[in-house]
Amino acid sequence: MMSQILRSSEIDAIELAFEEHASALFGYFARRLEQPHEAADLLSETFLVAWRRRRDIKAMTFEMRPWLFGVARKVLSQHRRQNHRRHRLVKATRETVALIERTDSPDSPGAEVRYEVRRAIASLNEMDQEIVKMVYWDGLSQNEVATILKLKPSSVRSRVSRARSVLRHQLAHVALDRKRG
Amino acid sequence: MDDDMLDTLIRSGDADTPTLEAHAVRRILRSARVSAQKPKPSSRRLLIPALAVAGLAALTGGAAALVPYFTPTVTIPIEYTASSGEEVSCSIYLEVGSEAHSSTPELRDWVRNHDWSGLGRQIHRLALLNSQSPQTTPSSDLIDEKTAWAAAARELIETDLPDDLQEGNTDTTSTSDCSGVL
Repeated sequence: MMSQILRSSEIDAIELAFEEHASALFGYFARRLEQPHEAADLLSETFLVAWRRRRDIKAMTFEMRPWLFGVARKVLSQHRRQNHRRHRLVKATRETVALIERTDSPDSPGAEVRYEVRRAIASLNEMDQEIVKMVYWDGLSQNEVATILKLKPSSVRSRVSRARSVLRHQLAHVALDRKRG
Repeated sequence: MDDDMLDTLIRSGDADTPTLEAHAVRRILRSARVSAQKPKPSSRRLLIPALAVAGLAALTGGAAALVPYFTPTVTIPIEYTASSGEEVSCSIYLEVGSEAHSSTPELRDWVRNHDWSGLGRQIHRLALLNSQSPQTTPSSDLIDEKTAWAAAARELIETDLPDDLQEGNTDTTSTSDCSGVL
């Protein structure tokens, strides 16, 4: 796939690569933002940055996905910083509860479990939350997460392991309820 | 709870995420490409000032070590293999604010504690690209090795710095005893 991209024109190469990862990147934003239309905006911004840095992309052909997610993370961070300036007084509260507030309506199937899982994840420290979401929700490998977050792979592995221990403990009652059926 | 059940539970926390249809992806691609091809606004703040690189003589064994004219917050070791096969070892000295400047202690701590290993190889790789590819500036000129090296160093260090610690205009100073040889 990648060798085909390299043989294509520069425009085709970057657009092919972006199309390949656009859905995953959109999901990345949608999971972390309160308004879906913002996810589309930030996806567009990510492509804009990627386009402007297309020479880097050609050099990093085997790390395309983590590179794009790294750009997306920067774009999201910038977006949040701008929001922070606009809504400095309410930001802390909003970020704390955003994860929980995005759950479905209480009546939808599985909503209660999702609420419990999100609440448990929200109890982790910020970095561990991000790693868990990237691995379990965004579908990134632990090595890719390490690249994106500029951490050592061993550090990501130990953080995932630690987070799993916490979540296993916190979600024990949910598992029990499921078994009882 | 066994591992499989735990994994399933954690995954189930991802509520139905909106998906993006192919036509929407294409529309976003088109609009972003049009925007990208417009001239880039020049308002981007450069956190790291132009990084001076030493003359090629500094590479020789007898070159005197550079003494920065400021107290570095961190001395970043730079190691890479130049295209000639020569093993290059030098340093980038970076000062973030001053110790008396109270608004940047977190950033200073981050810079001190950050793992900078591998930066030399990344700078070398990016600088090679910058020096060999036509620039996106209107003149489309190639840039020389030292300029490419310094630009790559600045870009990569800026990229590493966490955005949330860069509120306001951070006063930074940098220099290097690296020659910029590629």
